[in-house]
Amino acid sequence: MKKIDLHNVNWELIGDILTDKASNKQKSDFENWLETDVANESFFNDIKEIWVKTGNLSYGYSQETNEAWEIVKLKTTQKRNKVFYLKPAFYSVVSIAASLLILLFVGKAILYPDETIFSAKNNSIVAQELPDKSVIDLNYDTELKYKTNFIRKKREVWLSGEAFFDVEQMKTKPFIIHTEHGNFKVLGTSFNISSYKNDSLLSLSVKTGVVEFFPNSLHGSIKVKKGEQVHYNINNKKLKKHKSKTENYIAWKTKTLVFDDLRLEEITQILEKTYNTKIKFENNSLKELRFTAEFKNQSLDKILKVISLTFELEVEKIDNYIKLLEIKNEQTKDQNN
Amino acid sequence: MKAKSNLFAFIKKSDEKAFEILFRLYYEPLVGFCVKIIQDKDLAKGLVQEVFISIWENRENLRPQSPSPYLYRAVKNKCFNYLRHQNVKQEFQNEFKNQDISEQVENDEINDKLILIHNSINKLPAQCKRIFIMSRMHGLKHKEIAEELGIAVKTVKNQIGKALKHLKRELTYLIICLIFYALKLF
Repeated sequence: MKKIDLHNVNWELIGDILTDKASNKQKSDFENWLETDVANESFFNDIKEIWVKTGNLSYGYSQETNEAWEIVKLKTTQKRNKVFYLKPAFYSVVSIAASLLILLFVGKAILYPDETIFSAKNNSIVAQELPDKSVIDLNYDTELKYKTNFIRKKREVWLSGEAFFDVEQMKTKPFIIHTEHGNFKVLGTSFNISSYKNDSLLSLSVKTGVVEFFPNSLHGSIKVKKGEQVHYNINNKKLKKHKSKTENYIAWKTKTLVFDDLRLEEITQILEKTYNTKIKFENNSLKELRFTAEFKNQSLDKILKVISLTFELEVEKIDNYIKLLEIKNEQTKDQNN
Repeated sequence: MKAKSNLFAFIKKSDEKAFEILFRLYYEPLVGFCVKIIQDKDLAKGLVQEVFISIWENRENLRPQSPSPYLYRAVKNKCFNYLRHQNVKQEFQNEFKNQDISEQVENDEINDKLILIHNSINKLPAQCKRIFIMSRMHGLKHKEIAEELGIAVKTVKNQIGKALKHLKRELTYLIICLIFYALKLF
């Protein structure tokens, strides 16, 4: 038997045979090659064995294993490089060691800061992924912090502003969100929290699963389920829970708004939150108008235009807010003429 | 048996690749085993992950031995500790305490060659490795891989051939290496 040179093998042909992709022409080429030498056959059998065995390994590279490996890798790397043997014989050695240690800690502090901060500034929305694969969307003016030891014991983050959380499920490691006026505990769910510094209302809207809310002023907690919304009034410490009919609360993220026979005042409140703006009315009677529509990926200007055309209103942009006013009767007449 | 026992020897020497191979080989079978005891998939995943983490953290104390019985025993103990914590009825524990884990170990079809293959897959160039894993492990079609990575189908074929060539060469070399290593250890 001759020895086969690995460089002279038609690997693509072997690959096509094994993946069952070979054409008839290739198949006959392959048969010919097998027959030219007995060595070829045993060579191919070796490769085939590797091929079959790698298939048996597929679970070791499945999505599930990959995810778990990422978690375990993360948790074990944090523990690496920590062994530091020191047997000082002289003071000089001690002092050198001490200065090295200081360098080590300073270096560590620079390379691995104690906490990570995600932030979204004015009018920008940012999506971030945490080490546990949970995904957080930050609305404007929002800050989210987590410590380097996130995931080791429990998953903890600090939020100021508004964010939509899609939390990965890990039953042994609850996910905890701290805000100025209360804390939230979840296992694996998706939900929106709005807790801006200057807002008098903290709100929680749950899209899937259950979220446990611990207001600072109360002992104990309340559980908020899928499709429910809780408003916590920071001034009078009152809690209100109701069903949310729409998903307008995450319109800032999804850019989808559904108005089902809503008062104009409610609509402008939603628009203010979604587009980070202020909208005022010229007179209170306008607030009571009712409006039904659905918008997807529309700009604020476009939405306001539709509303103003519906009710014959005028949109006036003033420095930092928008004003809705009635078109004067004379003007309407002019236009009609 | 030698290569498998050696995994622990490598891990003891802080070999991260060996640790990854141990994890990939045993993680899913162990989760399956753990689910049988505690009846909760997510919990089982967490417990098995903790077992692996503690193996790494205490790697200095590892003895070169066959990983399989060691791992199954560690997971079993972890589960019982958990159940004891949860105050689950005593009978339930007893029922499992007496169950022989050797069955699990024997069903475990993993052999030395698999470790070698894992090892050589790890050494493939990044793109080649990705394509090989997508084709062989995830069962994707050439066309799907090409679309996913934005490359030509021809390149996919080419890379699979390249991976096979590499594996064939590597495996001959590795077998020699590991035998040598085993001789040094015992």
